[in-house]
Amino acid sequence: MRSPTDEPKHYLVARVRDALARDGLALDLEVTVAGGKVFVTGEVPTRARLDSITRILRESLPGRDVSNEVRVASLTDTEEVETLS
Amino acid sequence: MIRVAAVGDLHFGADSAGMLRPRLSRLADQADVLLLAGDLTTRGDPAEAAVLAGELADLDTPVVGVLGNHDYHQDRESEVRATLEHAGVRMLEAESAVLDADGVCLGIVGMKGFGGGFAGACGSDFGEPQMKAFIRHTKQLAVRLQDALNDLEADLKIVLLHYSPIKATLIGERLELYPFLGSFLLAEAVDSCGADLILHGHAHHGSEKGVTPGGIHVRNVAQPVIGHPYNLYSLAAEPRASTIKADVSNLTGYGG
Repeated sequence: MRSPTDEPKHYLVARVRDALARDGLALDLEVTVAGGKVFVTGEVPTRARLDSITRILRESLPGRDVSNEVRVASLTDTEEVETLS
Repeated sequence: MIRVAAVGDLHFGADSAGMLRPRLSRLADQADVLLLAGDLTTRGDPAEAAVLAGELADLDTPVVGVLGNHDYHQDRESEVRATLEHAGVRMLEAESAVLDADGVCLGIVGMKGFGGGFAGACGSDFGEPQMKAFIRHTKQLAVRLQDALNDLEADLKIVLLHYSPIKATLIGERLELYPFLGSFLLAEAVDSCGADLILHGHAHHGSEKGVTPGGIHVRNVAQPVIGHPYNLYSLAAEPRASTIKADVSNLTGYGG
């Protein structure tokens, strides 16, 4: 029987992205596997979504070494106007 | 001069209350209209749309929007649309809206759009029923977009989409995703009729600026792309000599 760490990383990445997508969260996230560790990077708009990602990763990757490097995005105020002719 | 504020992909959820309205405090001084380029909710839940509706209610600036693919996720897109319209947002799907700003008539044609890819590397109307349905859906949408544009009389015309009409504003996205991010058929429909600007969202990792093969400005206003609460564009037009009857009865903030 395959152990959690035997899953080919191609399928592991797809499975994690699918789990995140079901919560509408996969769009801005990058999932990679390197050195046996799963890295998740990107930005989300709120702290609550970051917490959801943490939960989903814990549920979908039991027994795996995971680095959740997702950040909460910040926006700068609109100052410039583009004139179109 | 018409001033347009635009943003897409707000992806509102239950946790989004208070995230947008404070950033709209200067909007009335900056823009004649706010355009929303789809993916207004995270999961297409009308409760999420209600949170966004609360942020947009009673704005002095008219708001016009289209839905995106996320807004269809729970098969309750009609409720999502109705929730926003109840707050005064004019939602469009192969429909147009017109508003008058300083004597200039601005016409907006809005549509979500769909995928299929771009000339030379796109899907074909061939094979399994599911594949034919995928491509035929975009073909039908393009016809409806063209019809709506042909029927619109205005000094300036803006097309508001969720999906992209060109590849250039997808640069930054993985190439394998391009067929799911837009279709050249949308650009072809707009180029055949003419317009002054096309706005879209959907491609969070794309690029802001592009142009259709026919020379129409295209701007990707997905919020992760622009990095602001909204972007601002100004367009100049000569008021039409004839009198335009403006249908603004469904727009908020209209002073008439």
